[in-house]
Amino acid sequence: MFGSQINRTAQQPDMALASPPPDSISKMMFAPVISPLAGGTDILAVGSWDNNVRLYAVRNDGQSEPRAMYSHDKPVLDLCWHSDGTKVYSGGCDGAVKCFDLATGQATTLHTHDKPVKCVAFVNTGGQQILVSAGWDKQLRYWDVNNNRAIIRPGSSGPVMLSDRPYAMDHNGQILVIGTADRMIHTFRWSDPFTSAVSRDSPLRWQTKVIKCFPSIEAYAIGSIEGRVGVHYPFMPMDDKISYSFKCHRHDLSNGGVPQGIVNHATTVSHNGAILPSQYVFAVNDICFHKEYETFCTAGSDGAITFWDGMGRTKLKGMTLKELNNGDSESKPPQFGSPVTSCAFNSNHTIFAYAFSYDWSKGHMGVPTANQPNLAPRIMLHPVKQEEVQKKKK
Amino acid sequence: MGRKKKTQVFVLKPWCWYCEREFEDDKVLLQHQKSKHFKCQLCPRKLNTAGGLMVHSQQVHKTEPEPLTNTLPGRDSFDVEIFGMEGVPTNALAEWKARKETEAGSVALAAAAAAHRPRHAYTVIPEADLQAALAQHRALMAKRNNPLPLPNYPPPAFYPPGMPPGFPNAYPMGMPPPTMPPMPGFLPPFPPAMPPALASPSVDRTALRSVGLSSPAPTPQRQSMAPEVVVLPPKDGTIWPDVEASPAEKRAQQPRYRYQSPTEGLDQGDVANGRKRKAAEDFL
Repeated sequence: MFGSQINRTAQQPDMALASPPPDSISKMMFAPVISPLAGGTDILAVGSWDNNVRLYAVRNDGQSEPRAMYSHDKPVLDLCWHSDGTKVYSGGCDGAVKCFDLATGQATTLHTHDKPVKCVAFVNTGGQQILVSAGWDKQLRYWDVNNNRAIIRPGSSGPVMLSDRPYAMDHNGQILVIGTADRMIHTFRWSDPFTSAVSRDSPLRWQTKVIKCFPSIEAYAIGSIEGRVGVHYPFMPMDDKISYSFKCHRHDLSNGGVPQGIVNHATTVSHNGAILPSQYVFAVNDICFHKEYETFCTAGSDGAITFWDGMGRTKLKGMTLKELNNGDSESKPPQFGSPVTSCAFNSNHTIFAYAFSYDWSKGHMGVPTANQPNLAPRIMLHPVKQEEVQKKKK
Repeated sequence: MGRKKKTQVFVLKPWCWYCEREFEDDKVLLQHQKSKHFKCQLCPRKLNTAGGLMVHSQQVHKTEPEPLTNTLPGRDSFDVEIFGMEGVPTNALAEWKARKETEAGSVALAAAAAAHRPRHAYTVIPEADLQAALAQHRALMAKRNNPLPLPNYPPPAFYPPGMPPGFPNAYPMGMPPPTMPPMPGFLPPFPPAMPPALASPSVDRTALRSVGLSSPAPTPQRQSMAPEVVVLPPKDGTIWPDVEASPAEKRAQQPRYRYQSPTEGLDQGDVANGRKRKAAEDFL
């Protein structure tokens, strides 16, 4: 898939992005289309906890170079692209929602929340181009980016209030889904973006980590901190048989005992009370969809990546820790590598980027020190193979 | 003599009426039926019964279903509702039984087996296992100098620390030794989720479970469903232990990243600013 001169095999490691951010990567995203401003290459926007958003040009052969950078006053938590690939929008702990214009190279602040902005999303719907932002001030704001003004419900004075702090948000052409700290999932339809069409408990029992909508249907995949992904249809009854969830990013404990290490685990108890081998359980940090095939990939706190076919309920390809050269779950004791905090497909789905960096899942104790260069933040570029993302034929 | 008899006891394995295949386990049989016989031809959906498949075809695909797949001739109709071993026509069942018995070679032995009650592995917990689990638990507790389980853990009434070794079957089924150590400093402890009323041993398991669903703390109550994987409260956080805040929120409150600081410029400090500027220059 990469250039013909580089004759790479599956065993060769993926290429690393040039000069990655020095601190954890909160979110990265490829421009949805290649705009002329980008010089004919894909542009990868990377938001980091070091307060900056960096833009990299990524050529199809895997070569990359830094292009531009702009700063927030506090760590960047989320970013998204204008649908024409000319502007980047980002939100950060400073509460600001910023817009970076590739043409001028200038960043401007659109508006500010009272608390950090956790989620931003760009929506191009019905002729209007709207930037949606959700902050830990529990506000959901819509911003008309063409006329540079807030969109509020006619007759109301302020933004939409959420039930709690937002943790994850995504949208497709039909729905906007927000997961909040109280484990609620709010689903909005574009016909009435000011009232939640459906608000219900999360299908998963644990804290929501990520939500991503299927590209073309009214369904979303939700990942929790407990190594579980749910595929859910918000407008179907709660007990419908189409929605389901599955476990992933877990590793069986081989010795059968209670782990003495630093990671957490689940324990299986057999019917006669004996303690069976249990599992290490990791958070699902990110989900990203292949827009064409509607398959998706999950990135885990264990440092592994898996591709799934959500409709066919099958696993397409697992990129294990060993394959990613990021720790080894089969060694004793298991060596888990750097968590994968974000992943993204480029505009034509030939490159899959994933970011290794610390996700704070172990608090202070997990912060990589200077003598752990293998845990330093890095972004890898993987040439997508067809069998990894395409649904299997029945 | 008696032992020898036991090994020869004739046991009728679960089998599939549609294809007359034997299985070790009811679960495997159900799985087999779903995937071999009750699979929709038009989509990946697998149904539990023939009736289910018919309804699925009519409602989802708006067509009459194809006859069942992979069956013996004459057994592909939708008229017989079979789920595992349930619903198998009695004459077919008797016929099968007779055939198996002759295959096993001895009708007399089968009769003997019928006379004996089948042994139930599920109800009796072997003493040795109990002892082992208890010993393991004690070792853990001793190590942590924390004899009492944490508040959201199975209540002490179930599990007194000074339990005699010969503790009978009232040992709560499938309880793992509590493995939660004192929380690391940066994490707030769990709120005591278990109301005192629940500490009574008379409370039933389903009640516990439903409380677990609504309580904010991670719930070990799921363990009552035996084969289910039980998630314990985390030790130091690969499952993020804090139900009140996400990792990102906690992180954002660190001095280095702080967002709520009233003295903003001072807080970030020269170090951070210097670092940032330098990084920016390097980068661009």
